[in-house]
Amino acid sequence: MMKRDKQWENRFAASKVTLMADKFMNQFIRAGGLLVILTVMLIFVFILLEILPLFRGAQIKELRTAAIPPGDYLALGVDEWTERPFVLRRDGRLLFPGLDEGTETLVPELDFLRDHQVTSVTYGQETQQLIYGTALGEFVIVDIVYSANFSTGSRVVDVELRPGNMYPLGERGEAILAIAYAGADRSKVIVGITEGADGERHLRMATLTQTMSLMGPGEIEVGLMMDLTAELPGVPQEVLVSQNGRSILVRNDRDEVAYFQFVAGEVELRQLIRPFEGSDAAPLAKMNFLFGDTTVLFTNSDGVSYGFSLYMHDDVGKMLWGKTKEFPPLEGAPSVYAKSLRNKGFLIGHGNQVSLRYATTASVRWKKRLDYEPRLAAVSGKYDRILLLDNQSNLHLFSLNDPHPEAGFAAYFSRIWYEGNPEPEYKWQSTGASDDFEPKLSMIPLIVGTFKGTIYALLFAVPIALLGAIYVSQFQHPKFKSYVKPTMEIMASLPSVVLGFLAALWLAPIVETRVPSFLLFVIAIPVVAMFSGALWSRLPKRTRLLCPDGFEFIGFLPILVLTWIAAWYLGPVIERIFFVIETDAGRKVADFRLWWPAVTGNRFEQRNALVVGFIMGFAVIPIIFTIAEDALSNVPRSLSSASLALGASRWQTALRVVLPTASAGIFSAIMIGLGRAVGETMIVLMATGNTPLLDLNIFSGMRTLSANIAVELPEAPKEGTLYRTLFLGGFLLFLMTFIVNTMAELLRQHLRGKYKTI
Amino acid sequence: MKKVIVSLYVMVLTLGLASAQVKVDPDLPSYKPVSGVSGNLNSVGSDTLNNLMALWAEGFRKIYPNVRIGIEGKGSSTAPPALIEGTAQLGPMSRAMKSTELDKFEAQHGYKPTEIKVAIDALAVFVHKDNPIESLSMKEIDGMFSSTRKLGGKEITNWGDLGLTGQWAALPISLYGRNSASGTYGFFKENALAKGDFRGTVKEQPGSSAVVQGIASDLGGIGYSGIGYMTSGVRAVKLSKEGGEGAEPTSENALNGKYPLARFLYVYVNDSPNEKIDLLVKEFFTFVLSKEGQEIVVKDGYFPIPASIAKQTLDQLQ
Repeated sequence: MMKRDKQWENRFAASKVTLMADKFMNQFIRAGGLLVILTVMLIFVFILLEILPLFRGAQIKELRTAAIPPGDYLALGVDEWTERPFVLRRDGRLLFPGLDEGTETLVPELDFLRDHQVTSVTYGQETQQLIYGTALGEFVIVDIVYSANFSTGSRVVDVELRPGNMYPLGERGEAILAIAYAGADRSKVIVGITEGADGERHLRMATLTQTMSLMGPGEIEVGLMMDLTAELPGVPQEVLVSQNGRSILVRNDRDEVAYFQFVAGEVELRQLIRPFEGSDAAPLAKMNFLFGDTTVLFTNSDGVSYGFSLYMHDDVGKMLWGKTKEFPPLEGAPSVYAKSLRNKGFLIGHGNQVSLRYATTASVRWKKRLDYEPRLAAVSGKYDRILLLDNQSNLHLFSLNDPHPEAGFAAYFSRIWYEGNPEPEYKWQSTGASDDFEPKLSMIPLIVGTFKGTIYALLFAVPIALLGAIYVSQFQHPKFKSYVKPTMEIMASLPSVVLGFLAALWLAPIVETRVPSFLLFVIAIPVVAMFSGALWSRLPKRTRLLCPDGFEFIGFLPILVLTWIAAWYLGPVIERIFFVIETDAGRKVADFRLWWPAVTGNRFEQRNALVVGFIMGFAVIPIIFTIAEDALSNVPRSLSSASLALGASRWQTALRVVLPTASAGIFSAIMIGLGRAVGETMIVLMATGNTPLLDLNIFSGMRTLSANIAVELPEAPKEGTLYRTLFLGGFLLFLMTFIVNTMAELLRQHLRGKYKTI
Repeated sequence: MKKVIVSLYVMVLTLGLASAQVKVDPDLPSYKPVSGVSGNLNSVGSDTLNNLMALWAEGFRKIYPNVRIGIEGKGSSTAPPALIEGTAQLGPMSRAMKSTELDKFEAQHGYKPTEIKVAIDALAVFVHKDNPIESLSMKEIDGMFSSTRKLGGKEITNWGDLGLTGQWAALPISLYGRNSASGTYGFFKENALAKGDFRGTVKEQPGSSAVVQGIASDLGGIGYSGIGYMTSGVRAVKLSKEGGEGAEPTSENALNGKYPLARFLYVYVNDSPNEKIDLLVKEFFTFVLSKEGQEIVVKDGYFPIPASIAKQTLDQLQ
């Protein structure tokens, strides 16, 4: 009895193998799912790790201290490897102390100064040159030449001084109190403040010219000699000359800074700058160029610090200096200043407090209160070391680790007043030819460009794809469906490079000359479709019955083609009637390309959003179409049959019964299409000019986040700021699709819940 | 595909454009083959130099069939990363390396890369072939391309602003340029815009030929690329430094400094100061800087370098 029961039971029990397989597959699929989630998370973490360093400040550590002979030091300089720094004494002597223990201090003989009394000396960080001014009104430029010697196997840094010739600054031989100079390629500009025996100060300028061609430099000759004293209001105190030799800034005793422009042998007083307005403003304490010499930093004795940049003032049509930056104030007058030669960073300090700042974003990268008061500072050529000389004549060497000073939240998402620009802007321009280029890394134009491309693509694709899906699933004879769907799917498999190439070199030039025709397509095709539909419904029933259900489109096709042809040829006619503008000469020209900018004030470009929208639509239509068609076809036949049986028309059934039931699926279709359009790269890359613009004008180009990554990644050095910034662009894309998809999923669930009852 | 384009290009050049009057310096030595040259060379870098590298590689391989040379040209800025990571031995660049790039190379290898001047280019400003504009000054170019206008010119947005009349007067200027990885982009920015910024409306094209194609199909188009990419659809404008009669982009004007946008084209190599240079690399450059190599330069539409510079450059490579 028992045995039989057991057998009975076993008969209906699942076999052990099946149960095991079931269990195994359950776990296997679960593991697979978890793995997918894990992978996505890992990608997320990887991207996050790549972009996190962008938002970190500078790390600075003290390495060692070396005592140097006490003295009255004017300047501190360093070689590019930070092995042989030097200090410059007020009398012109140079000391090269070794930073390591046991390295002796080099004190080179300055033979060229033997018969001269040095009254001023200035160190040019960019060129590693010194310029000496003497009591007899002469000057000499000395090169400090560092060279790396590999003969012993490891690097040994040698130093050598190479003096040029002595030249006079002015004819009178007055003592030079202050001197500045710039070494542009062809002409060197020397400006000095001299004082004669009568105590009168003069502002003098001289140029040294050197012919330069691809074959190399030629002879140096003295060019111009000028006395600028008469043009300068007040008494000169301090001079600065920009590296390109075009800007000369002179501070006078009235707290003003005069800007002389030197172009084509002519000097002109262009502007008198009063950096600190207001009668109670503290006097100007320090003026220094930032790297590149197109921004000058003015700091007053209260520690208020402003950046002024040279830019085109369109109201007067001249390049003038204007205030572009406000830095966090210091506690008092600045005592040390040093600029970086790699970026717009600089070190500034008051008392025992020093801070490293970055000019573009006006941010403080690092600050510290030291145990001593630094008197001189230098930032190494590679922006990896900082040297401070304190008032006890100790040299402090710091390591500086700040790989991404130009990054930060402000740099990516806020309006920034860049050097040389007339106003604060969102701007993307990541690379320049020279080191003194200021990277412009705003993400805003790229985000706008991404949205712009997506919007125009969807404007074109969604109506066509959805209406097509509704037609194919509800109205067309099912026989055709087996042809239409695969055809659409083939369309989806067209490589986007091919589409982009077509768009750029074939479609764009056609659209450019035939915009009115294309506008006519957009208007005429729906109008003709509706009109022919209405006409069809007015036909006697007998005629209509001749055509079986779902075959009507065959009759419509010729009408469509005719409309197409008519619109194509009517376009130029429309252009001649509506899009006419008067040119300067009073001649009337019918050209949409000229009409659009004249009437709307927007640009007309050959590579524009219309072309991109059109071609990207081609990539998106098949995706939306297939998914939407599936959703519509999956609506139970019973529903539509019931609706039709109750006397609803086909259109009513489609609109009121099928469409709402399938709405969740249709919504997913649009969202997946949107995802494709957001991430689409090659079409945008090839068909737009990749212009990072900030407008939604349909006749101008754009630059999208994805195209930007494709364009700029090959040039971005690994782990560099641009490299990480491109990852940030990827992260934003990720975030955008994540938000859109989440919202879409929530909405889809909501729609599904709403129509579940049907 | 690339091969086909290159060989087509060579055909076109030998048929038509090669009738150019440019002659190589007669003092340049002829190339003498040596034994034992074989192996692989990889070149990553400038697009301006892409065709030239391909032609040199072809010429070099005719002498040494056992040598394989792979060439990739996406822009000069791709050369330093490739040299640093060692994925390429040759880094063609249409501009000199920036100090930041030199720093990164030095941080990896302990010494600086060696710069070799291989040809001279007159960076040309192209307009559509029907455009009647004769000559442009640097200030006008700055006014068209730059948003900062550091040379102090007026903003120029349509061809009428440059004095063209008739149908050209109201035609907007459509700007074409290279992508920012390009050395040509950097060189133009530094020399024509005085380190200013490009306007946002400059259409950045991924290659020199895309720039030229874009201009050829756009009546109001203007753009820049190496002179070697000139086709019949575009015309190179005369350029002047300060206004007045401009200089044609020719070999003489590039050498005597009259043409304002003349430049050297470079190839960078990783040459350790402690070791002898690889024979293959050395022979490649001996070939490039020989009479035969510089004749290829002329064939590709660029200008050959003088014998004195060639010798000086070769002496660097020991």
